[in-house]
Amino acid sequence: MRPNATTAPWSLAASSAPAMPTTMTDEALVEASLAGATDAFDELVTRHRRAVYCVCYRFVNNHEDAADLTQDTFVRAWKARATFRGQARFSTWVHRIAVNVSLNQVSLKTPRGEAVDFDTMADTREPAPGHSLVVAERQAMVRAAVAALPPRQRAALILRTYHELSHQEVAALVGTSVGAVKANVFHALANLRKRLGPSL
Amino acid sequence: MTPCLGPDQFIDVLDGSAEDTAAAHVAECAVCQATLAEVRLTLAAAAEAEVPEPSPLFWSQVNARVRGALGGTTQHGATGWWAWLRFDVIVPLAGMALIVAALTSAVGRVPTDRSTGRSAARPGGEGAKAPVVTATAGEPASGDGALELMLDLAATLPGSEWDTFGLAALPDLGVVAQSLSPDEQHALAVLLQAAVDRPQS
Repeated sequence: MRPNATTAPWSLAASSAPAMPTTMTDEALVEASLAGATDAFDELVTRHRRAVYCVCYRFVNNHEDAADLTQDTFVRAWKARATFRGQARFSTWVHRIAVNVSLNQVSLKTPRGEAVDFDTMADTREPAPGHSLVVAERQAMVRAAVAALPPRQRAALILRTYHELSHQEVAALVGTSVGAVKANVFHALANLRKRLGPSL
Repeated sequence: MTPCLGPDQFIDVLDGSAEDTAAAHVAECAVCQATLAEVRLTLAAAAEAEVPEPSPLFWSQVNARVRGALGGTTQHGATGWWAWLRFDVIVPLAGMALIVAALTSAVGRVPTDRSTGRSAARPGGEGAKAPVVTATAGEPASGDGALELMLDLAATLPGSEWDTFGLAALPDLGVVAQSLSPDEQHALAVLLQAAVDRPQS
């Protein structure tokens, strides 16, 4: 059966028109999408969906919310694509949108997160280097602990640690001072230490 | 000895951007050394916590979800009755209408099998394309009489006429009909019925 008619403009691009050449730059794809080539934007989504999803997941720590935020990020990017001037890379631009979307989400509600009981999940076994299960459990605990941080601490830690933004960039995104960002990162790490305790 | 480091100074030390006085203090202060070690250990643990990989199917869902969300915002985002008037629908429809227009005048000459009501004629000869149609013409997609009639009529079209009407490159009409949505099938049936009902000149 044919795809849903409500997706007709896109399904035409996806099924009938040739796919956008993968050699096109992001900037060229943005230009093409501005000219109405929706398949060009589809290619941009394909290129950056993983990075955007990772940004969002860091903030909410669960797949469902991260998927919703990823969709929201690209929808906003589509609507705002005319404002993309090419002064920054598209990846940086869409990354900032993802951060803003996630920050809005973080300020609205406490993330559902992965269900982790810190008391019962503390790893008391002898470390087994290379054991994937142990590593996965520890990583899940860390992610849950990060997601449980107060919003500003969480945002500062995520942006500084996982996305390697400068303190100045983080301050601009979060809307605070550089000193406050550094303090938030420090307190975030201190809180993580308390939560994770001996499992570190 | 200088005062112990504040939160932002610990981060500066971690980043390697601390003032000399701060670094000198840490070198002498056991408390700050312990704090710095804990912060560094925690930061390392946080840094290695990777995002779990979602299902491989998820990535294509991202594109589909974005497409769906943008369905009403794209400049071509037409919705409503004309939404199905797409190139990949219009071409088969036009082809089918052309067949009907060409054959309705000759329908009276087509011998039929009275036991089934279906056309007894079957195309033959070299280069005939019509057998492709007859392979699926017996099971029209909609069950609508007009569509069934059109498929039967198409089955009678000699191969040479397929080329004459430029239909040789079209896909199997039966397959096309089955690929249409119910709304599209209904629209096609209405179109065909109107063509069949048109008085012959």
